[in-house]
Amino acid sequence: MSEKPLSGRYHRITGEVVSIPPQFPAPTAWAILFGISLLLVGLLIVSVAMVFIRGVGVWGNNIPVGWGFPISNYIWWLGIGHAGTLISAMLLLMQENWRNSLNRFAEAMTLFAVTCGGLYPIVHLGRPWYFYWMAPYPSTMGVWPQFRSPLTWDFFAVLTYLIVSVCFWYIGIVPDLAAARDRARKRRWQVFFGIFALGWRGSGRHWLRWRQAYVITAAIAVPLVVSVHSEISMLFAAGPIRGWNSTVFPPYFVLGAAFSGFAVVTMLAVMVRSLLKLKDLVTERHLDMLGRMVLATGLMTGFGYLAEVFTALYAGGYEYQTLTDRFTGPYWWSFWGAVVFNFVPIQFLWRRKVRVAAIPAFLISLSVAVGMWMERYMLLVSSLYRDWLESSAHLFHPTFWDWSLYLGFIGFFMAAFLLFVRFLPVISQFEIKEAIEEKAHG
Amino acid sequence: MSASDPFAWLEQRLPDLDLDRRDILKGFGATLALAGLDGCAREADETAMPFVNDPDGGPGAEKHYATAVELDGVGQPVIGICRDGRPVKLEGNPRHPASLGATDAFTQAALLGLYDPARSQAPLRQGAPATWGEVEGALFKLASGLEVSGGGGFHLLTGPVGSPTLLRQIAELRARWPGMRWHVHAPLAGSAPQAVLPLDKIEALVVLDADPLGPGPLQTIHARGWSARRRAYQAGHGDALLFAAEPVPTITGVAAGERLIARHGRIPALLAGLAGNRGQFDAREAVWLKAAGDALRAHEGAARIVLGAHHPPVLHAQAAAINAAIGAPEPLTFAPDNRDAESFSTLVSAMRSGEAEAVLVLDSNPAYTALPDLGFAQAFARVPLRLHAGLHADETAALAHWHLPLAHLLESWSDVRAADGSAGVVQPLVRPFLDVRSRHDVLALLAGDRRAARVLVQQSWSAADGDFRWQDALLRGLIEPSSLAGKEGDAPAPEGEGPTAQAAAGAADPSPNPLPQGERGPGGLDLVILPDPTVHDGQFAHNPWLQELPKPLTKLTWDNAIHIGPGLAARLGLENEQLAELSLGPSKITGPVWIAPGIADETALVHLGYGRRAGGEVGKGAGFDAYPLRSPAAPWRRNGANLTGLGGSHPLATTQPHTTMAGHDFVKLVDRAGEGVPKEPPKPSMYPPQKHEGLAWAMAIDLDLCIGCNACVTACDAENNIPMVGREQVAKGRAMHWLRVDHYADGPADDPQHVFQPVPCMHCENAPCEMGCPVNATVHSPDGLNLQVYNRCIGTRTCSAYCPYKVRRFNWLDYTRKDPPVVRAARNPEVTVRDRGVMEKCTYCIQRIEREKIDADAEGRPMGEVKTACQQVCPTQAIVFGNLADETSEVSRRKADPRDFTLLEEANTRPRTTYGARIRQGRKA
Amino acid sequence: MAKLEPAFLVAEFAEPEPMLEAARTLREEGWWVELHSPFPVKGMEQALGFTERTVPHAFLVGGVAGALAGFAIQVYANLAYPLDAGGRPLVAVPAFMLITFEVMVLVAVLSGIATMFVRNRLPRLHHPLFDAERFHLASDNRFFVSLLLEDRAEGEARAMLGRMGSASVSRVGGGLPE
Repeated sequence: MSEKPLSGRYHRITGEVVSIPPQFPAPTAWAILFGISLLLVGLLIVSVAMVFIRGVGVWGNNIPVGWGFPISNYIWWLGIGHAGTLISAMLLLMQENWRNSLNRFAEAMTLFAVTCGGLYPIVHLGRPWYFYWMAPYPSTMGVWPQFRSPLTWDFFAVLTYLIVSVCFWYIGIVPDLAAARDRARKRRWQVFFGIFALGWRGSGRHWLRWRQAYVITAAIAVPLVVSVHSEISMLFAAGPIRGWNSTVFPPYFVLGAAFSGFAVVTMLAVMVRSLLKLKDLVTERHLDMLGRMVLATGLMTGFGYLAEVFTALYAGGYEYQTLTDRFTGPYWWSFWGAVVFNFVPIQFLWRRKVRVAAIPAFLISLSVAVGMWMERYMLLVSSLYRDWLESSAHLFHPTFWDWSLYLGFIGFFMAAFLLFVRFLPVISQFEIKEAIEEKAHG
Repeated sequence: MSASDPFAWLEQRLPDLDLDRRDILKGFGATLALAGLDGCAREADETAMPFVNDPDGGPGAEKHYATAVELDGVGQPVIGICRDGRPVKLEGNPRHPASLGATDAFTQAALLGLYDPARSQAPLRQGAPATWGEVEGALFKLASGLEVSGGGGFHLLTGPVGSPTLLRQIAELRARWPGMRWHVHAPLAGSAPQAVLPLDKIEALVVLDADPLGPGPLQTIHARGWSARRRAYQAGHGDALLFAAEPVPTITGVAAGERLIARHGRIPALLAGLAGNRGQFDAREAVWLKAAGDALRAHEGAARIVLGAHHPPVLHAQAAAINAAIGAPEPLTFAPDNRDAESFSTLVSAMRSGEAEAVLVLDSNPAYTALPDLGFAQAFARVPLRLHAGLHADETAALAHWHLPLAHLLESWSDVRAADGSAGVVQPLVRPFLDVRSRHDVLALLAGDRRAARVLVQQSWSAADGDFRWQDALLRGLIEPSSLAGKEGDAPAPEGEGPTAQAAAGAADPSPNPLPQGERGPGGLDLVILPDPTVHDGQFAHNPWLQELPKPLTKLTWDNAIHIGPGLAARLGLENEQLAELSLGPSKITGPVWIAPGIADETALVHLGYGRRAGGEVGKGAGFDAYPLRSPAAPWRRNGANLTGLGGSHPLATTQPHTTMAGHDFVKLVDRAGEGVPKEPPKPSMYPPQKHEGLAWAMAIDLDLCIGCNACVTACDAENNIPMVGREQVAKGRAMHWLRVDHYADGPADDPQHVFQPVPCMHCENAPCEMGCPVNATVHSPDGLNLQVYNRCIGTRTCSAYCPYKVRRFNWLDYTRKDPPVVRAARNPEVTVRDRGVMEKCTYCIQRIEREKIDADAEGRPMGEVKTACQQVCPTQAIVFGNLADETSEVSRRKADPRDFTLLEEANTRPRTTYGARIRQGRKA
Repeated sequence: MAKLEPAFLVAEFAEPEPMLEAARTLREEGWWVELHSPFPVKGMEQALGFTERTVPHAFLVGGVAGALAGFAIQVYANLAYPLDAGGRPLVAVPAFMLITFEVMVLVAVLSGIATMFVRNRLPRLHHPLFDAERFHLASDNRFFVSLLLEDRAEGEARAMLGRMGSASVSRVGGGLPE
């Protein structure tokens, strides 16, 4: 067992991670990206203002397609979010140490994605200023929420998920903030990190209690993720709408969520890696593992598609009608688009060379993100636009404001993430050290 | 918004980005002068006579007045319901034999016509505002001139005149000025039968290219009779056979048991075939002829052939011969007595020749509705003094020196003659809130008669018989025919013929002729021209309720179109909504194509009444003017038309893009009365069953009686303050009607089976919408109503997403707040006006249920019958509402009928609204 | 005379093992000992004799309480204002399970983490130990043992730490509180 090299490595790691904020490696690239995202955030503000001033009628929604972009995007965003929790919590429990380089920004991604997702349903309300009526509080009217409604379930699920993710992410980052505090030279950085480090001093008993809390939270977070997206799938599955009312939905949605999530994590990993020059912390191995995850969850999602088709063929009647409608109806592009974007490019991930190559990995992940968006859109619109009575069938066409709001939220997500990489330790340096230590001592 | 400050309101209107509603609001924008009117300040006319049995006074109390409105000179008796001095609803007068409580869509919408912000508000002189004082001056000058000339050169032009008092006034004027001439302009003469068919007595009816059940002044009374016959048949008394042969689908054709799609040119052959003559018939025609002919013979004395009034007399003679041979029940000629009126064309020639020195156009709009070939405008321009009196400053007003704003019938004293020939007094529901005069006032002014219209009306009746009971007439809204002076209503004559009918048609101008040979251009298309089912001849073009009312067979709103069948569309390579040019000889029009099933091949259908050029913004933007396509020789059917596709397209707003059932049986059919639909045992449910005790509200809709006339939809609009949203919103799929009438044309596109199906909220017992709502905004009431709590709704739209029937409607934008005060005044104060962002839907007229509850409590009696607005107005009594818990109630009886079925039973939501299967044949076993 | 704030002896180690070793022995000597390391090191429990289970219990209690509360609010709300929603039973246990689960998770996590912070006396932005020079390396690559100086001989402790292979030993705190 060599001694000096280890502690030297620790020092280097600390340096690499916590020195990012004070001496940011790529200020120009960051500034450009941040500028773009700010523009999009501006678009978001305008779009939301438009909706609040004019009403949700500025979108393409109609009867029968009362839900349009907002709900399908809501599902898409939350799905993306789930990968963060899965990576940090599930892999932590499974002692997969390669997660340590990823979990911090994966969790950050979760926070921002869930925020976007969580805001969508509120913006989408006809009278958003009353959104809190979904919460059980003793109102003067004496009326309570309707707890049998999948929306109420969602309200609780998303809220819980957001709070738990924040806690998990924050207690995870505290020791690194302490490290950053101790390295900081400039006063303002010392104060900034000092406050958020809460006076963490790496004391043994603190570590032990911290470990207990962290692991148990992780253990709870895994079923939480599953429950959250299962509930979101209930939003569809609980309704008597053909193409929705199916028991395959919960697992189908959860897997799709992980699929899209891992894809986005891959994209962020590639970005962080090149932008912050962290190639030796976020190594090829990490890209490799991510690629495998994307491939695996992708194949499972593909199985979900087959299960759907089988159900429809087996059930016949309306279900079959919807199926054929999805294949050849006016929204055929969203179905076949989902199939192609989701399942064709990932086949390249069978080869390690592709998995570890930054650009291909990024592009494949991008196509998955697009494909999963199409899937959510297809599931919602192609079922709703023509559900039972032929007479009430009517097409849905998104408007400019549908798209602008969506782009705006993407901008919001990017901006938040860029701020995170700019000002906070993007990688859990202490967990990496711990892993190295354990490796060193068998 | 302070109603007294128009500018504050204007400022509110200006920043409005709401393009979607602009086509309506622009019209309403013209009403600043009305901004001072908040609708609540007006009181009833002190001499009007409310029902004696109306709920006793107090603020908010209802007052019911028996009165009437007019359509094409035919009285439509109504009960006007007023609250706080505001007319808020019209209902058919149940005591009137011509309506028995029902009305058509036009009558329902007349209420909005009263409040129409586009109505002209003060006299115009050369288009500039003037005062009635100046008008009186002008009229005095004219009158004094006429005293000298004995009326020479003075021409009075009216529409068909039914009002006995108006007739009396005209007669008096002519007695005073023998030289004056009176002309009647009836643009729609010949489009509808001129006599009331005793449909309740006719067990076998054969309709050739006519639409007795269709929209028009006789729809209500005809539908009444037809449904009486139909219900008798259902009960096992006699048959109710209806055969139709027609080039384009009509309401009558849809109701027919056997509908034959026949080009217009085939009608003479078919008629001959019915007469028994041999002829060349294809298989379909032969089958139909056989069936129809047998039916006629089998029901001698109770069978009749009805031939479209536009057909030439020679054909009518043949039809009459057959009818005589089979002893057909004779129709009752209701026609208003315009016998001694001259035709419109004589007026035009008089004007052209320069003989006409002064023309007063009274409540008619020839500049828009006259046949183009007559060249009314040019001729009119040569008249030295041109006066126009009408509700709107319309196309004719624009050509006149003077425009005199007329009072709406609902705010004036008058009298009418209803379809059954009986006369009724028209009493104002409210004092005129504009500076307007009634039609009687205008003629009285001309005659220098200073008496009030009420006196004039009263006089003509007390003159008619000494012991005339005025108050009684006011209360009952009906003057017994026995108490009539004139009996001209009773002379029976086959429709479309006979002097009376000719006269009724305003000297049948243009007179129906056989198609000139010249028009039989080979390869040319047959052109069918009809009055529009919702805006009629164009007089309702400014009425949003009717503009947004889906047309029965296409569900189009806000536009007319060039309708062709799929076959022709394929041959010409035309697509839906593609712009096309329809030309016939010199005249051509451009409009969007609408491909509809059930239209004869090589036939195009256009509707009149659109493309208005003046009179209000609401109508201006809508559709194209089809009048130019008419010719004096053949105003309704023409040959040799050419249809050529153009580049662009014009998006049409339909509320039902899909018209097939795609293999489902949303509408079930049985072969004959007594036969039932196959019943499945109720599916298992995970939820406790709903109790049917005490009160359990439910509705039954008999699809065998529904003729899709849309009266219910309009009644619902009026009763429930349904907002009109405009073309763009409808096109987006955001029409707000709580009650829609689905139309399906199932089967082969060249000969489909048409059916109608009114779809209100089903009030499911296991309602998915209620399960979906996160905030308890839609819940179930103990008496079985699916409630919608507007002020609890946050607009998640889950309820709509989960509703298998998609009957819920959402306020996507602010559809109500920008309505001008005058339109707000028309609203029903009993019903909440929904705000932006909340869901709404049919409530089974809960306000009527509650009202009855309250009244019953107040009077300490058990709850009586409650009628929903749609049920109350339905001329065929297809809709029945009532208490399911009471086995004796009509609704329970309907649901016990073997024909009763549940829409989308597989959804297993246990709806309280169920349907009666339609019966294919009107024949007993 | 104001009470002096506690004084600590802080010993730095380059490796985790000697740190753990030193901590164990000193603790057995009866000193109150604390460790400081850049990351949780295996064997801390034994070194500190740490057997506390408060945090896990907090999760458990919070979870149970949350589940009960979550279910109770749904039952109560439906009985307090009974409304017929879609003919479903008032107390629809299967439908209530999801929210019950979510509330359980929420309360469990919040109470667990809260307990962790409370037991750790955090946040506490300043601590005398921060005065020890090189203590900032505790978050980098150095390992520290700190022991609370009571009235026992400081030299004894210093000697022992030296033997344990501590690179440097320094004393902090013990002054008058500002």
